Amino acid sequence: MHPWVIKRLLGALLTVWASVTLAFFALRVVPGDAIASQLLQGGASEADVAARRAALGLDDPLTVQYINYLAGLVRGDLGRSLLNRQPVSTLIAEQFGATAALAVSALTVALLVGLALGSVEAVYWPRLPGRLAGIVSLLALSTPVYWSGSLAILLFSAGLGLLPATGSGDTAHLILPAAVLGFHVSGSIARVTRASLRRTSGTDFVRTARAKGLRARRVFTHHVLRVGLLPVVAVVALQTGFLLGGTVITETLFARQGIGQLLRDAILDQDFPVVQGVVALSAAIYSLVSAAADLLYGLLDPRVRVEGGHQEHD
Amino acid sequence: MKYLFALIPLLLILAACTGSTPASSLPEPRIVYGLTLMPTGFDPHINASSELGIPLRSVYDTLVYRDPVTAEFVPGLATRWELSADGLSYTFYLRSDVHFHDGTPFNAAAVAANLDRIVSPDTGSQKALFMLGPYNGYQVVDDFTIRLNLTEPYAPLLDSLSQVYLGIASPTQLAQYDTATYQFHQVGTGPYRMVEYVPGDRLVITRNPDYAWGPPFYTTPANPIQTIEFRFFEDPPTRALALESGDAQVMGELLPVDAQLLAGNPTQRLYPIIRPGQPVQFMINVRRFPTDNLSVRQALIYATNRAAIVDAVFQRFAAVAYGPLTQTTDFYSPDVTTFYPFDSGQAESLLFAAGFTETDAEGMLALPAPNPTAAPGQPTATAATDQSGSVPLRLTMVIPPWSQYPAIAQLIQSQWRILGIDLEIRQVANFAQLREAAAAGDYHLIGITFSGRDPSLLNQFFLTAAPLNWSGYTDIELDAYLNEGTRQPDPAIRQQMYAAAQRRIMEQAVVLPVVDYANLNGASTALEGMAFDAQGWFPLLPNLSLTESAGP
Amino acid sequence: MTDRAVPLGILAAIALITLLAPALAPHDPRSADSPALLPPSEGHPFGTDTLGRDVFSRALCGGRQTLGIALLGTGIAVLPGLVAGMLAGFFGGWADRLLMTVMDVLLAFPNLLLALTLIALTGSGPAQVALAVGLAGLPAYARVARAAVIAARSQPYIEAARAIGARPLRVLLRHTLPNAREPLLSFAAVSFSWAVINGAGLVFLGFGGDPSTPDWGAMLNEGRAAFRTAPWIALLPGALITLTVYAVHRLADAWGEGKTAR
Repeated sequence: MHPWVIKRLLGALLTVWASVTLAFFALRVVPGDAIASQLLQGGASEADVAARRAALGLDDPLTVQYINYLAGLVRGDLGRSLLNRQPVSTLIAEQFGATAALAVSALTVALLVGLALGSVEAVYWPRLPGRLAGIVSLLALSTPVYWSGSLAILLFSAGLGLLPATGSGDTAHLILPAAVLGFHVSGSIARVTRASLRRTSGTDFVRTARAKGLRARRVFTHHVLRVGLLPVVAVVALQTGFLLGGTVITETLFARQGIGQLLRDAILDQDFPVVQGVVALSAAIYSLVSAAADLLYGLLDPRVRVEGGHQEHD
Repeated sequence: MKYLFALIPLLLILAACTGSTPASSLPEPRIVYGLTLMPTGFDPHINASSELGIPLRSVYDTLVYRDPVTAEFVPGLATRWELSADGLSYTFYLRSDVHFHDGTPFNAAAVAANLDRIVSPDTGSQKALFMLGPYNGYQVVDDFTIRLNLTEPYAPLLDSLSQVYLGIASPTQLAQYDTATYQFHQVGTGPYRMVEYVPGDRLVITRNPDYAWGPPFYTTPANPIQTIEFRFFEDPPTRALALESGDAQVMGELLPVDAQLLAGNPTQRLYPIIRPGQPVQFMINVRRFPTDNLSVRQALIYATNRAAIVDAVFQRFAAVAYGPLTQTTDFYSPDVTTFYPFDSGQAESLLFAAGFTETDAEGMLALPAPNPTAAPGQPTATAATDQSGSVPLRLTMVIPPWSQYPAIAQLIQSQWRILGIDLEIRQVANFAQLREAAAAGDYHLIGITFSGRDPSLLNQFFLTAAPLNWSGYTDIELDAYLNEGTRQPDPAIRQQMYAAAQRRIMEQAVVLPVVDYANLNGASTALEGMAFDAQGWFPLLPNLSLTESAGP
Repeated sequence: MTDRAVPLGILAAIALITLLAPALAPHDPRSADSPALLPPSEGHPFGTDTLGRDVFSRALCGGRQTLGIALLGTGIAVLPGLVAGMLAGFFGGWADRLLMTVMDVLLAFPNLLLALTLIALTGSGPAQVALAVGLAGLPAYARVARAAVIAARSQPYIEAARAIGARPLRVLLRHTLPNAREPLLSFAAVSFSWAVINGAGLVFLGFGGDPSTPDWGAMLNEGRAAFRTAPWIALLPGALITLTVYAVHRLADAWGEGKTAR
């Protein structure tokens, strides 16, 4: 395997380990746990709670619990939910499909809309199309998802009856949430696209290309866009990780399955193994996504070699 | 860049494929019922959420039922029952004509298998086990007779046995699936059978054609609903929208403002149900200055305009609460309505009498600086004083995010401010944090409310050594009333005991009761027979029918 | 020049209103002495909210908490994030790997858990919300800063500067950074927008301490539940948020333009 791939894999493992450890101890800093809360609300006595916690090993010294958890993690065993005994890997697998579907479609919308808005704004500013694009991207950034989502539901579902509002089922159910979420994400992509494009338009190599007689559009797509896209790639990578990590507000609003709800409920219920499992997954996803982003940097601007590229400095 | 565009259609196709098979193969008529929160699990023997009872109440039968109107206990899977003279054993005589959805015959052994499961430590029951109280095993007397034993008399047992958490499941099915996976393959004897449970998405039940042993209040309409699909609507504003758009035919926990809108809508009907158990209330910390003073506590209740809260926060879809139990709870005592009606004048004089005679520039009350010549018996404070040495009337209230506590707290803050009481509100995120705040002790009021038909739930809050005794109030007589009320099966004695308990709690102003919370259910007018059981939460699904094809 | 004047003017106006709010507000923002959900009327130009409080007064006073949290949170995200991103992007190598691993770990850590942990340690309040929001935005800013620096450092004149023998830090600060100015400023403005929205989300969950404190984000939330009966509740705070975000972005764009460093 390529040495770069090995390096990144090791880095990913390190990231996953560090994230899970951080989550493990943070969860136990917050007082209480799922068992105590549920049992007390179910009518148990303190003695019952203590007995149950001891049986589940929640009373063992922290280091013991931690080592046991790591040992399981290495074997691929993410443990079981404290509240419903399901294996954490099953819980995550059940919800991840819906999250992935939403993430992919929302990202597509975000890329198309964001890149378009940002480019239009960069190229046409200060004329009207530029200003309009700017306003739209600003609206995308300053409107919380629960607002744009509610309005979308009111308009397209309740009002016009065009699209189903809730549920995870098929593509039809994906349209509204993907559009709403995608629009929201497009805001940051549009802004950074605009900023990057305006910067790189005037640099030397663009002038050189134009001097060579290349048409403006080709100059734009083949030179300006490619280097200017580096910060955009960074933002897209961030948003990909964010979307794949579960978007709880969108899931709640549109009554969809997804990792976001799983995580939020697990955090509030203090269901440790589930939180730890989702954090491990998130860490792996972010590692993967950053590696892909770095690869893209290299592809977009051949002068840049991010990994192993030491020719720039001493 | 080009590659990206090529991938998109591929990915979209992938996305579309993650959808599961539609339920078009299930029998009509079909409705969608909106649940409002996603319980962590759907196993009635294990999980504690009341939400799971909404579908599962109709999948299982229980040994006894409670009539939704009279609240009396009527036969269920048991035709009759006897209580021994010492109150320590209940003998149940079971029906012999019942079978489970999977064909397994119902008998005493089946009940035994269920009890075994509930008490087994491997099961990890979060509620059902504790509903059995001082349960001490069973004896199978014969094929259709079983005796349950207790270590001490326990009056709430029948009420427990009438609830879905102690529903009787097929022993064959219980043996086949472990405690983690049974929830996906539930088998009972009820009027509906479970088809599938997709976590986070839906739970589907269909009618059981063989059902012939229901309680008398299960009517069988001419055109009953064959399939009910339960979906989750956790976001409150979308609930009413889903109802209006036809995404759901029934929806629980509508927002009060939406219920207002619905009341004017000819295609929807509102079914408000007052929740039995505790009202939305605050426990008052009797161990901390100044709420250690009875007059101050009483003043606080007098100072709270609860009717205004019902108006603003609940749009009149609730009732003012006067005591520690709501009006739909067993053995609720109407005497409590005589305690502390809204009277700001009375509040002021009580606070003045308690020593808060000073008023600062903003109108806030304070206890004047201790005077060396003051009469003995003047309240002394360990609370913070300001520069002049006087002690301001400053209170702290801890609240959870549910049951509209934040809105209620803010209104109370505003109301008390007019009288010169400075209230600080601290909101916590979950029950664990609430408990933590209670353990820390630096609060004067803390919001907590449990639901349940049987008043023995008060034991958790008011017995001297109770785990949730967050007011810190200890009273041997109150302990006696509550304990006797729990032990004595005779309803007349229970009535006396709980009346005394409610009176004592209110005399001592241990709680600030605010509102009898109403669960605002909405349903399409096409739905006939909509009614709820004695516990208030759970719909009588077998009685539902559609007058026209208004399904999804 | 006019490019900067307009957004600066808007921000100055908002700042002024926010600071003078207690004096300007016709009613006590916490006082619920009118009927709930009144439409805009005499004495209540923007009506009353779900508890009967004057929407106009609450919106005037709401800027304090919202903007305070957003500014502090953005500061926490951008300043350390910029440093980390610069160092990683410019020097590369093991520094880059280390810093970016730390950033990935922070990114994977759920914001809600961070907020809960902070509150368990220090209690709830606007400062804690700002810290949670800032820490959530920090790794994001670091990654974008890194990308911007990588793009900028590969310019020929950078190589030229280094060929002359300029010290790396000088090259970084005087040449590379100014050329990355536009995306850096632009994403700082994006971070600000995210801080406003995330802050509002956490305040709504109750992490902001006293729920009666006026806050634009909290009002937006309230307004959503009552939208069909009382659309006026969300309108004013929503407009103020959008206006602030607009001004911040325009300002960032205006600062970003300017002479290209050579």
